[in-house]
Amino acid sequence: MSSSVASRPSHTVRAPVAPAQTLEVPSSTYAGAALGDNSGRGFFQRVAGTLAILVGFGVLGQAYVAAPDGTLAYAFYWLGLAACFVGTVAIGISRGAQPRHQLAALAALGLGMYLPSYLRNPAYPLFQDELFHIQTLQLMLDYGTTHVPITNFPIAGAYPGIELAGLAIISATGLSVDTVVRIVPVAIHMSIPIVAWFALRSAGLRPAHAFFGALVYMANWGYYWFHATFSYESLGILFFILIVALAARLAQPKLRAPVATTLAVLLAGVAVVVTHHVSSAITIGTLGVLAAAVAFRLRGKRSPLRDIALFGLVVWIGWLVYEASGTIVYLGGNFLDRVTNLLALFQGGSNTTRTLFWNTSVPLAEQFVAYLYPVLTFGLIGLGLYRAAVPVLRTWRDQRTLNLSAVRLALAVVGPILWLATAPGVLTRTADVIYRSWSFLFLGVALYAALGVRPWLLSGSVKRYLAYAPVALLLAGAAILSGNQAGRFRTADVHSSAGPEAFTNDMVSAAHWLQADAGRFHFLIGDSTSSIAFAVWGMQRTNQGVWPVFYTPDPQLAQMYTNDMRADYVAVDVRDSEYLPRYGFYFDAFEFLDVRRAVSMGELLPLDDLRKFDRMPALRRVYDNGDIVLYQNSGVVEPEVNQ
Amino acid sequence: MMLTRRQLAVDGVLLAAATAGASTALLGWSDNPVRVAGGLVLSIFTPGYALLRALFPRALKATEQYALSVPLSFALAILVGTTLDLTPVGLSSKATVALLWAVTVGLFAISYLRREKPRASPSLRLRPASQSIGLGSIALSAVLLVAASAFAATSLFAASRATPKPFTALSVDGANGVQTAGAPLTVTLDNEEGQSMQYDLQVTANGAEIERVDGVQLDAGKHYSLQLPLLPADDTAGADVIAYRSGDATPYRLVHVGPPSTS
Repeated sequence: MSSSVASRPSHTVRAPVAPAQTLEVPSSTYAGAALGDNSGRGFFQRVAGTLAILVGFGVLGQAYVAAPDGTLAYAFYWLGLAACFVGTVAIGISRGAQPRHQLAALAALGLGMYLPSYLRNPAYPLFQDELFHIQTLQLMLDYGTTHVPITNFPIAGAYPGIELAGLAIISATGLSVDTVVRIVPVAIHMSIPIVAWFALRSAGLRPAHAFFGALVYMANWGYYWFHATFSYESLGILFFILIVALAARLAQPKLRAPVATTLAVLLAGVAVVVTHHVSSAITIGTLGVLAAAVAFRLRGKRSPLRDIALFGLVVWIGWLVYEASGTIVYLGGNFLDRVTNLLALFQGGSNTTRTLFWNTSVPLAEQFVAYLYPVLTFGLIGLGLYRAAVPVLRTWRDQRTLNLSAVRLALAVVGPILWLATAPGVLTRTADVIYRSWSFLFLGVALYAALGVRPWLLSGSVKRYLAYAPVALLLAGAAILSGNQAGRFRTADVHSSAGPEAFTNDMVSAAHWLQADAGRFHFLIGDSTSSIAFAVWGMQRTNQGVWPVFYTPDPQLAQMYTNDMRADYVAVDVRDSEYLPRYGFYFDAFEFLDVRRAVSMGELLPLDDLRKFDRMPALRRVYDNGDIVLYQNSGVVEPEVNQ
Repeated sequence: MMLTRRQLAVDGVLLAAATAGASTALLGWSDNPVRVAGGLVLSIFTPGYALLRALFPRALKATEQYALSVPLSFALAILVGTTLDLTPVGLSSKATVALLWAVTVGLFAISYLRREKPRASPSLRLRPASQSIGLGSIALSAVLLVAASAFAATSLFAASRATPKPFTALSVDGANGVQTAGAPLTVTLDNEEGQSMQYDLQVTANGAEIERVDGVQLDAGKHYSLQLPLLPADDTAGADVIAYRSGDATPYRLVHVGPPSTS
């Protein structure tokens, strides 16, 4: 008998058995129901929880009304988030709490955790990954097809899932693109913890444990900020969890509604393939692991999971060939870059690790909490694996059988085990990939974390509340680690250039001016931020690899480079000579490979390198708003066309 | 579980809302609250809800039904869009709405056809005893919730009013900035400083001032256009247009017209 069963209170009341075709795992008990409390206490606790959440929303709003980066703003920010969390937990563990209460509380916390991302810049989104999709959506709306002339990052258009979802809302409501790119992430952010709850229920957890697990899942690196953006990965992760939730039902020894569930998985599977490359690949991989676990655990019993995984693979390859062949080069290049970096690290090469919190404005106390994040995750995983392993080992010793369900076996691999294997990678330059993969692995991590604290969650003592303390710290750590890359608050002055902070309204205005004045699809060169801003808000063609034009004080040489690139316009962000770049480079990461030029490498871009544009023979300064200066190039000679 | 009256009512309301959204969208009503509300129901919730009803006609639990509807609606919207994109119709707004609505109605029809016959025996499902909560307590809770909601709403409204970064832009109209066939050039000064500003404008060619406009008073959000005098035909350096904040000797903004500057 497992320890959890032994610790179950003797007066536990079994909830009614669910109908045969329900998706929910039967014979569950609710934490509150287990305590047999039908008095008003649970009701008042839920009211108090709701009040705390609403007050939390208001206090979060005050954080963005207070002076930016001031003590008061920080205090309101953390108080607001804490109130939302406390309110959510109060509702979720209240006596007599039903799944609907827990899910509503989780959705409310999801909304609360979305607010900082929105309030940081309500006028328009700031993160490049979502800006690419906003351009794609606008172009799809303009042209009425998914095959649109994307001007900066074509991969975004090869996976138009989130744009198609946005387009459906625009078509049905008549709302603007600016509004819809906020609605879709809100819906996703509120749905993710709900669907995670279902996935954990599918893995056999009781509602109280699934509630705890869903909170742990929300502490994955990507959720707080990255998945609050209009990015394909935000929707991809939602589909991933949905598919795992449904597929886990198909992995049960006693199949319920297999045809209907299979149809739902296939539908969601096609949607994830159309939505995001990595999400779909990981989803198919997870389905494969789940199918293998089922084959291993339920020998002789048929399960559609293998066929579903194969179907997913076929659709993924088909989409790659039909629509997204460019992804092969993109992902392949990224993969090779990461592998090269890791190999260099193992060989003791320099510049292969990264400085934690480089060029950051995160206070020291918050950095400390962030350092606790991996330790707490490790602790919860360790506890969960220990509690899961003890009965498994005991049964194995006594009966030579593996007492672990296929779902838990699969999610142990695509979860704690892979998390532990990849965790050291966050110290390398591959950290972004590692962090992103954790959004997928955290479902398994959440499952085992819930298993680890399972006995405490059902106890009537203070342990039940204490179990949520590490989750609070974990959520805080995730919020700090994955905080808005544009900075937490609106500031009067930017803290760094060539990053999301630099998407200020004067830059957006410059991009709008160029489109209104000169039309679309001119070739414009600029730093990493300008190239995105002028692509998204100005609909100009922009490209990477333009640093040679900028890293020289010689106007003649720069003119030659500009002409060679056939640039129609040059955008100069004069803040590049005042602030260090957000990501360590002003133009793109490949500039570090250029050994001939004195690229940034932690230095400001020399002012002379920017002033030379006024002395270039074929450039004409046509726009100036203080931060952004636009030059038109008349030096491009059109090639003669043979008649 | 058979189709209950409550489920029928929920289905009816959702179908009506989706139909209202689709109708107003197909009629091309814009800025219409019925279209916004109905359209949101049609695009974010109802298709997934109807799909679950069609796939699992023996009634899912309400929590499952409502909670999984959003992601499945997104999935259906993606499939509808992908399908339309493959047809000559393309991703037109009306086609998207019409197909999404048709799919939703079709799924509702399937769910109705697959509904379970009413059972003879009543459900043995145990219900918790009714809670004894006083009316006063409920009223007090409601008042507190309304007050907290009002605080949240006003606070979030205030926070969502972004204060844009102030700036002034000086630009050459037409963007090519080249004077051709004797056509005059225009430069525009935009005041986005969030307050009324006074500017001086100076036009210089070959180092000599050829035009000056002092004391241009611009309210916030307003712009001023200056038509430039014709440059000499043999001019090879073009002209600089400089904007100063009144009383300030340092150039504030600068653009160049005519041939590229080589100075």
